[in-house]
Amino acid sequence: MLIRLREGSSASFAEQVASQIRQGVARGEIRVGEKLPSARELAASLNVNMHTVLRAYDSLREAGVIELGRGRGATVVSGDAPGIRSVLDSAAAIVADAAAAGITARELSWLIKGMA
Amino acid sequence: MTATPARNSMPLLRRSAASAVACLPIAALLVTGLLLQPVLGSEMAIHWSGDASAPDGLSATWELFWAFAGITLALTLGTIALIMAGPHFRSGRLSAMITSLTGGILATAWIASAWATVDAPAPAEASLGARPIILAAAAVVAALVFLLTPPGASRAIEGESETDALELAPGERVAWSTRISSPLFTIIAVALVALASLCAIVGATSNTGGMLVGVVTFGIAALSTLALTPVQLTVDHRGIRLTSVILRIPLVRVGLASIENVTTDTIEPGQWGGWGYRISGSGRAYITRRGPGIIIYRHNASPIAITVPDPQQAAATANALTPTA
Repeated sequence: MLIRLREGSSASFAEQVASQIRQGVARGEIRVGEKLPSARELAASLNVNMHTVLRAYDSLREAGVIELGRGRGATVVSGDAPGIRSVLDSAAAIVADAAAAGITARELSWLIKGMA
Repeated sequence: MTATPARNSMPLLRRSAASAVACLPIAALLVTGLLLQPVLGSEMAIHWSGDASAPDGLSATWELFWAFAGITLALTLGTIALIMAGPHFRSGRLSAMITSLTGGILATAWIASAWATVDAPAPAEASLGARPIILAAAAVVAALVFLLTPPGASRAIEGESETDALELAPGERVAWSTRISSPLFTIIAVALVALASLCAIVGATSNTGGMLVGVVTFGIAALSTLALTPVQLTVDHRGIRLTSVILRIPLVRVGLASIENVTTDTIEPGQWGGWGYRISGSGRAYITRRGPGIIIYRHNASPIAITVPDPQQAAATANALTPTA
């Protein structure tokens, strides 16, 4: 499981963590049944506050992607949720088209935010 | 066009010959059973004492025969399967030798006991004498199986490869982690826990103090094995860490400053001293199987190998975080 956090991103660290875990699950890089690192471990790994990872895990739990145990464990319970993979494919195509058209990632981000 | 067909048929001939030799123990057991059937009674000597001069106990002759024959037959079929799988199973001939030896020992053990029983006036008065020498035949058969079986072809091994570092934006934080489990280590750990529990129960019920040694020995072995599965491999700003998930023991901890480079390769247990947590002349290693893994090269220290299903991202992340000279 690879997590990359960008300082200047419009998404918060918690949103970035949740989004990347979700993408990993959708791509099959993180398998159903796989245990994720504890919030404390992942926070130490990424050098962020533990509550940041807990917020990310909470949003993943609400989305039905992971199950949080009574202890610290988080287990992936949902595989390739319907639609997520096609959204990822569409997003990749939009990013490629935007790059070809000379639209920067920041501009594209604002464009999409304006539509949402 | 001239010599090729003959050369190609050689491995098949050798495997057929090895299979025929592998059948000798079960054949000898069946023939002996058939020959001794008229003279063997319903009970035969078994469970020999230390000097084999008298049996510790008697067993029902034919129930024991069919149990030994069944196991020996299963081992013989397993041996043949391993011999025939040779080209696809690298350590096939070694495994075939071990299964053949096990089957051979079982067959010759029954033959020696039956022979001793027949020669004695009564099963309880049987003496093994020099008959255990026929167990050497099992070793000869196993050695022949090993020598006749052609060595398995090595699978194509991907060479060690340098992995490009991830491209990181200024200030970007990155962490990679995965959990590695080994079903084999889990089975061994469960078996060792069961043996420790058995020793504890036997010791408690029979008041045998010696069983405490078994409890401690198997207990320590079980804990050592449990430390090896599952484990968490993490690559982040602190370095590379391999930690036992159950016992929370760090097995490998390498700071980024001491890392020279991380590469990917097919990890061969033989090159690193075997399976498990190993320390050998090649360096330290955590090996669950022969397969892909990372090799951590350190400044002024021996390398460390870790088998991991997806080593590229781990190596790329480590190389991105490692300070360049």
